[in-house]
Amino acid sequence: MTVDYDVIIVGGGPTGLAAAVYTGRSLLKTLVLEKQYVGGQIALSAAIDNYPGFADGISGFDFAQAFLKHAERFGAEVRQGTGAEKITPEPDGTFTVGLSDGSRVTARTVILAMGRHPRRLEVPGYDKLFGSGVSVCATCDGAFFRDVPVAVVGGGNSAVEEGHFLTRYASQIYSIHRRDHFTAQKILIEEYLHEPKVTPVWNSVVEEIYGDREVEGVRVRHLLSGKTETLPVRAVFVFIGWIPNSEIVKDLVETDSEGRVIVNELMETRVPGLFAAGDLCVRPIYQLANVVADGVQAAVSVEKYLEKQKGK
Amino acid sequence: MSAFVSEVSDETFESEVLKSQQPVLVDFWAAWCAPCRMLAPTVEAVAEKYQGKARVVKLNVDENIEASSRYGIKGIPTLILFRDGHEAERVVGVPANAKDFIAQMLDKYIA
Repeated sequence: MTVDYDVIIVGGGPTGLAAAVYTGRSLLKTLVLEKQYVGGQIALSAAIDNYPGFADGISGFDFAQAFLKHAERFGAEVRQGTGAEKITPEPDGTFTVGLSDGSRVTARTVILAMGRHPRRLEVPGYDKLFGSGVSVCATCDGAFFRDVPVAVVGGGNSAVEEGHFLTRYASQIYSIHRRDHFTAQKILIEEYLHEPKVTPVWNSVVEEIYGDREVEGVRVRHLLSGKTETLPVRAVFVFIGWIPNSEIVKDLVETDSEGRVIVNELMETRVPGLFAAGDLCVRPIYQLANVVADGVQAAVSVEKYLEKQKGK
Repeated sequence: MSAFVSEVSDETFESEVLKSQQPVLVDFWAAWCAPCRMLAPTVEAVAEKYQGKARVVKLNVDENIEASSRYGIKGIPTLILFRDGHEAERVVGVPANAKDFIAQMLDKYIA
């Protein structure tokens, strides 16, 4: 049967675009679908300092644009603002992908690279004040909170990095974490805690975000003493983990209890011709360099799979 | 300068946005905001599609503090759709499937 593409890559982050560079170079007809903007989460990073080879760092935006340019140079078609809504394996082994604009495209193979999105804080005030002081992106919204106290929630790499970025603007940063230490990389923690503006609030969770039209404060409960206190912050930046964007494939592929897609080392799922890579999947670490490598592996696996199909 | 999206300011906000006969979609943005730059081509595409039916403009929040604070902009990109001088719809951040999302929002206010 004739199909529109050799491979459709769902997701235009570093994983998907790295895959597209490789499939493009292998002269496979490639479509990348990106529902928001290329780069995904990494596009929001103010400075990427741990991608080997970029000794002076690079902004997430520039990094994403470079990946896009590279993928397009080898012929990949990248559609921004268009997501995949449904992926259907056909009896002949090909795939039909339903798009957010109502159209459909077909391909011999699909690489899932949808990544993940930030987990929301399940407390009163979060939804109401989202965009009015509640944020999941310091580089997007930090500049609106000059010379006022803000809160950062979470203790991993994202929380510590974004919290550090906020020291440019905020007068004080209450860094709220449910444990008694951060779990980010040591160099990041050291730099962060060294900042005089940063006040860690250990063993504590946010119970409520106050405010009518804007954030006026948060109520924090100390887990050991059970005591609560109100911090007079004007913004709450939340970095408490991630949720894989696996919704559209959860009945198709195997996932773990958190919804992450399970793949083998060739990035194969249980469906022949359907591959998955990057942050969407169960990975030993979630770093830029290894999710890029995942995309490369998935692309090579696609290439080998198609060669085998041809031989049949 | 973009072909279909013109720039408005604190000074021109009333005449260009609030007194417009057509619905006006305002893109609140800043040069340092990566998602704003990512969203810009989509906003441009929407503007082209709705030419003659709705106006699409952008407002730099760093240079136009009055309008940004009047509408309580605390995160960007923020898109606000104005109709007859009033806020009708607001989107904060980059919505998924942005082009269709914004188009559907505009369609509600176009006769």
